[in-house]
Amino acid sequence: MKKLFFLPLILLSLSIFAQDNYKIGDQVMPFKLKNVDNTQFLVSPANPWKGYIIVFTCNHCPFSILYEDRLIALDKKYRPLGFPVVAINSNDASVYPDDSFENMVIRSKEKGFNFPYLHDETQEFAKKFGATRTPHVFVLNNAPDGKLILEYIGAIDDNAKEPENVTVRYVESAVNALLEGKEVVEKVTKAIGCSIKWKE
Amino acid sequence: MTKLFFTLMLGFFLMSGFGQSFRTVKLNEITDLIESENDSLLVINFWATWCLPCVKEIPYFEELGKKYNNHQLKIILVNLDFKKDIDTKLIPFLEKHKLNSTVWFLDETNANSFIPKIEENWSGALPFTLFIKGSSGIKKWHEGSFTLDSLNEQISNILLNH
Repeated sequence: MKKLFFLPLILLSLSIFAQDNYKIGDQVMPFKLKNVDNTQFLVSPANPWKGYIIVFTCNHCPFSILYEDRLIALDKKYRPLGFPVVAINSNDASVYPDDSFENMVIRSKEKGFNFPYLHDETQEFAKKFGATRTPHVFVLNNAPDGKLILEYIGAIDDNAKEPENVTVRYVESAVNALLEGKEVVEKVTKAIGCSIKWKE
Repeated sequence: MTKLFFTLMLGFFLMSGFGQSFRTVKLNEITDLIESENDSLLVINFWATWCLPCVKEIPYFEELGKKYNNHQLKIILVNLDFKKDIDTKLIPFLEKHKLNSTVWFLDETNANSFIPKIEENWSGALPFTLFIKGSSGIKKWHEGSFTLDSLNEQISNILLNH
C-alpha cells in the first residue's frame, strides 16, 4: 500500500521534468501562420499533401543562408512528389532586426523562395516543435488516419559549408523512405547552427 | 637612420609577440580533455565569430578566467568557424580582442558525428559550454548564452562545492 501512495508523487515529478515539445512519432496538430505574401498559411492533414518539410530558419544566420539554395532545390524536387518545403522564422526581431517580417519579405523575393516563409511571431511553434537552432528541419508525414506525424528531426545534410562535399542527405533519405511507405532510418540528426533568438 | 631601422624592427617584433595564436585540434583532443581526471575546472566554450551571442559573452569568460588561477580554472574557447574563414574572420577577431583564454580551432566537418561525442544532450546550437572537473566526476553543460552573473554563479558553485 505504501508503494501505491508514492506513485502519484513520482508521476508528478516526472511530468515536471517532461518536455512537452513534439517527439518522433507524435501527432502534429494543424496550425497556421502569416506568410510573406500576407496570407495565413495552413499546415494541415486536410490539405492534399503527402507531408511537409518544415524548416525553422531565419534571415541572418550564416548557416541558414548557406542552405537557402538547398531548400529551394528540395522544394523543386519534393513539392511535385507531395512534400513541399515550409520555412518558419521564429527569431525575436527586436534584438535581431535582420529577422523582421519586412526583411523576410525582402529575402524571399530577392532569393526567389519557391516555398512559404512563415512568421512565428510569438515563438509558439519553435517551442511546440522544440526547435533550437537555424536551420532545423521537421519532416511530417500525412498518415492514413488523417494525422500529421513527425517522422524526422534534424539537419539537412552533413556539410553546411561545402554542398559539393555532402555525403549524406538526411532530409532526402527521410522523405524518400516516407514516399516508399517505409520507415525513416535515421530519424534524428544534429548540426551546428545559430541558436533560435528567444524573447527575453 | 640605423637607430630608426632597429627601433622599427624591435617594434614589429614586439607587436608580433602580442598577436593572439590558436591551436587547430581534431575531435579526439576535445574528448580526451573531457575524459581527463584533472583537478582544475575546465570550462570549454564552443563559439564562432558569426555567432553574435557567442561574441557577446566572451568578455565574461575572459574576466572570470582572470579571477581564478590556472590551477583552479582553465578556460578553452573552441572555435567552430568554417576552415576557409580562418584568415578572414578568426585571425582578425583574435588580433582585435587579444584574448587571455586558450583558443582552439576544431577542424571537423561532420557535425552529426562530433556533436553527440562532445555531449549527447547538445542540439548543436551555439553558444554551448561544458564544465568539467574530472577529479570530482563533474560534467555539466549549458546550451545558450550566459550573463556575467550566471556564468560566475555556475563556476563558483562548482569550485565551492567540489
